[in-house]
Amino acid sequence: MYRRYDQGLGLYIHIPFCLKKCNYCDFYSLPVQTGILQRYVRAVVKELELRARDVEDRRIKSVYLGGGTPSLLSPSELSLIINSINLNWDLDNEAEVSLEANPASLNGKALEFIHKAGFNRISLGVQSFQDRDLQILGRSHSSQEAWQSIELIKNSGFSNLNLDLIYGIPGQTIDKWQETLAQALDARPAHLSVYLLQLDEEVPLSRYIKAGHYQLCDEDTEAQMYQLAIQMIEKAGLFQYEISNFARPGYECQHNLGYWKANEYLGIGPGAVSFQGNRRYINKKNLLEYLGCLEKDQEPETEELEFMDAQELAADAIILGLRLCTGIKLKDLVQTYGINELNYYKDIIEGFINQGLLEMDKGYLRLSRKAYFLSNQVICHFLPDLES
Amino acid sequence: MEGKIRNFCIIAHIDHGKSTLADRLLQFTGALSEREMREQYLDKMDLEREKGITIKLQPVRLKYQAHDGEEYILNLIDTPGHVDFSYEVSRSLAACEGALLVVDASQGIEAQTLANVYMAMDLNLEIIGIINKIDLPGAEPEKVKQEMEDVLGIDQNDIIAISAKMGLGIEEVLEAIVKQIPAPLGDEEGPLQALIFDSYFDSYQGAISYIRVVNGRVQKGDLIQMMSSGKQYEVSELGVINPYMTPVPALKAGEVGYLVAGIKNVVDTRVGDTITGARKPAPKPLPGYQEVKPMVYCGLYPLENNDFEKLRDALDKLKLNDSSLFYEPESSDALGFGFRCGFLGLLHLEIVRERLEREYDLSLMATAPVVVYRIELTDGRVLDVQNPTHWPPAQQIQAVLEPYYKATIMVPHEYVGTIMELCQEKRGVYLNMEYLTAQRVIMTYKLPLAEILYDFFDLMKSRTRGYASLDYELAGYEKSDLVKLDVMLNGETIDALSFITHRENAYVRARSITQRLRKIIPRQMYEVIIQAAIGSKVIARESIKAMRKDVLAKCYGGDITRKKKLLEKQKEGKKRMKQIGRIEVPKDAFMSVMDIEKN
Repeated sequence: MYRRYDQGLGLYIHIPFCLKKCNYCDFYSLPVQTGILQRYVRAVVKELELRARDVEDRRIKSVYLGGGTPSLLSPSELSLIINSINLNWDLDNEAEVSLEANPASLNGKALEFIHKAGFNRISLGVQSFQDRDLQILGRSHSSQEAWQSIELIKNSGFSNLNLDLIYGIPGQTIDKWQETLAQALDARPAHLSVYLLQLDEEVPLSRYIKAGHYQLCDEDTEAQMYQLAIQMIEKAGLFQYEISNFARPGYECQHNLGYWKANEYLGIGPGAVSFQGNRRYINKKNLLEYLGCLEKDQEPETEELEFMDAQELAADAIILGLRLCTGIKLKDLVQTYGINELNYYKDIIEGFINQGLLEMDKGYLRLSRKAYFLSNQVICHFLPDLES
Repeated sequence: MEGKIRNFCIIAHIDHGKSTLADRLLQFTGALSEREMREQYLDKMDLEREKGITIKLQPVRLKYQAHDGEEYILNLIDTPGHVDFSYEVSRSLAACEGALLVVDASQGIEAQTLANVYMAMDLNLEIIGIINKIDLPGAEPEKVKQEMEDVLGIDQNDIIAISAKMGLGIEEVLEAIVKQIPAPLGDEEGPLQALIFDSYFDSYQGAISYIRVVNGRVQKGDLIQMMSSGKQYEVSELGVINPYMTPVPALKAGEVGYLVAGIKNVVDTRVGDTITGARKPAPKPLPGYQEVKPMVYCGLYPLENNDFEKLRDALDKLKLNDSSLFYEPESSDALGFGFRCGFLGLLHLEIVRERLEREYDLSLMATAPVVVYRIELTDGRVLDVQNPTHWPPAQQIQAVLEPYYKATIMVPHEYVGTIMELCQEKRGVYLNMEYLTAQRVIMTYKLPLAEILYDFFDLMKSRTRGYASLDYELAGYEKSDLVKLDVMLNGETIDALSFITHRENAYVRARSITQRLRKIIPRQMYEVIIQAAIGSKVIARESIKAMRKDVLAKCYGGDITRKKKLLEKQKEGKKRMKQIGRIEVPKDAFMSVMDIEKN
């Protein structure tokens, strides 16, 4: 099909369990029950084995355990997963292997073990260093626990630590956000993700807001918070490489870069999405069905999300690629998808360049910095027309 | 059949139950079986059903076995219930010998009903008073009967109380039609005179006319002539509607039916025109024919520039069925190519616009409706202006005249002060006031049509809690101190937003439109300054702050599809916007000049 890379796959493994679901979360996750984790890990191991049969080129460039709360798994359960990857797939020596962790569920011993088992990156869901914010978000940890977790992670041999932060929390002020940022930077992480709070309509926090209990920040405040984040984080020596992501040189998240570069990936577990060739599909969001299938040695049931033609794939690549600060190499687009995107989008690109929202530099097309926080205004124009 | 025909129509205010009564008559006389019965059979257009009003006339022929043992033919001619269509009403009335006046037992007589009853009385129609909805809890039949007697001189004892919805009193109505309405007179042997009271376009047969033969007879194969234009046609089909189109060999004096004659366009079968025989023409047409002139104009523009031809085709097709619709191409700097369209009134405008969008799948922008202004220039010429863009520069204007309407307002007496105040605000000139009953007052004012169109009706309704009703007719042109107000976005005049206002109202209107636009136009990538100006003098200003945020904070493998759908929606949203320079303006903004602040 479209050989747009020669770098192997990204592997995402979904762990759909939480002690308590956060008020803003719209991922597939369930309350954790006794015995279920073990059973689940066996199913994941089985899926890794079964899915490998369908794939010719099994090189894995990155692994990401996300959730849910992957750090609920015991070190031995995590090892089982890594072993299965090694057994059935061709895991690159240099591969980035990330574990998403909740500050409420970490201990030092386990972390050392996890590190030895092959995980080399921890993404810690700190979200805020203000307990008030954490309470509104419905997080099950305090800022103090976050600090303890950071210490533990660092002392367990992990040099690649990401902290997730959220801004635009109801009631959050610029000053409080500045404090959170300052504390996060004090931890000297290799990577920082700072996300504007954006709520799906269905989540509890949306309902509280609708009911008038809370109020979101206004967009001017949100924009200021974003600018403040960029300023402070870059001053601390991390550089921005994506709309919401910052890293020390060499510590960009390889797994996520795969998404933004429109590379292929496989999703394991219920609710996980895979992208292969021109097809994007999702494992059905039903834990018991999922377990049932794999316990019978069958692949889990899937739902198709998209089948894309060359033009749609190219549009995907542009929409995702423009999230990156380096932008997209237009020549690669033309080569990979066989259509001249530059011509197809010529007017749009020129228009935005004239408005100072897009820039062209050495064959790369990218958003100008001032366009980052307004990027939808630009990227929506690259979607193919529905009629055509 | 001699003496056994009754031609009648129903006069009623909107919602007083005209269509329900008509349906009951059809049902009772067996014109429709239960199975065929569909609520409000005669209102055929979906739009009519939705708005609960009748726009088109659907004549229907009923057979009724009366108590006297004879079988009668009853021709029911339905009438539109809106002031926009009062000329059509007058022609429908002229086709009848009698009228059923239907009044809601809890509402009493409304201004427009009254105007139509007076019209019917002028045409010597026999009026049968009917009080409907007597089953409703708020019904006050005695009070309404008294009012009908006091106001219209209808004997209380002759008024029939019914509930069309429940089917009560229907037979009494049919008996009254037979007994009270006179059989049509007319000379069957004389030269043909047939009144066209409606017409519509059929894609197979061309324009089909609904006619009432007044004198003479017409049969298949006859050569006929339109008396207003002299155009001649050969009759290819005649028939009656019972309620399906049923061909008959001939129609004679007194009868009602349809006529097909290979007429390509409804413009050639104008409502009110007289059809006569080409070989033996009548010496003169039936009285009352008028050429209908549009009273309200607006620009209609396709949102997509390349839909211009599609809009033209759609208008051509609508025009086949609507001889009162007027249009000609025009262009606007802001909106591109479109049409200046003329309408009988706001309802007519709204119906045409909705039909264009619905039936012809067009996305349209409409500019604010305007009346036709008459401008006397300093060089002595007189200019009719129905587009503010064509307003001449102030130094060339000697005087401006605008259409005034005589407005008849019926209102409970406690609202007399309210109405006086409102009319004063709207530049009204007091003409008359009369107590119909101790409670009900009829007030007559002369009002500029522009004010009636702008917000008079809504204000009247809201300030009288819905109790006032309004009818109006053209009273002539009068001088006014009018100015043109221009609206600018980031310094650029948007021609499609210009409007005409009385000088005294200019500040208020300027403020209200700039504020409204500030609300309607979404935040853009840049600050947008909205100004309203008379000539070069800015009298109102608002600004829309630049957009600060429009971003997907997170976009990872798991939900790229979903995020793309959000972007898709956003892109679709942009399609409903008109790009003016760098500013994206929602298509409804151009109507906003007219919108009334909803309190």
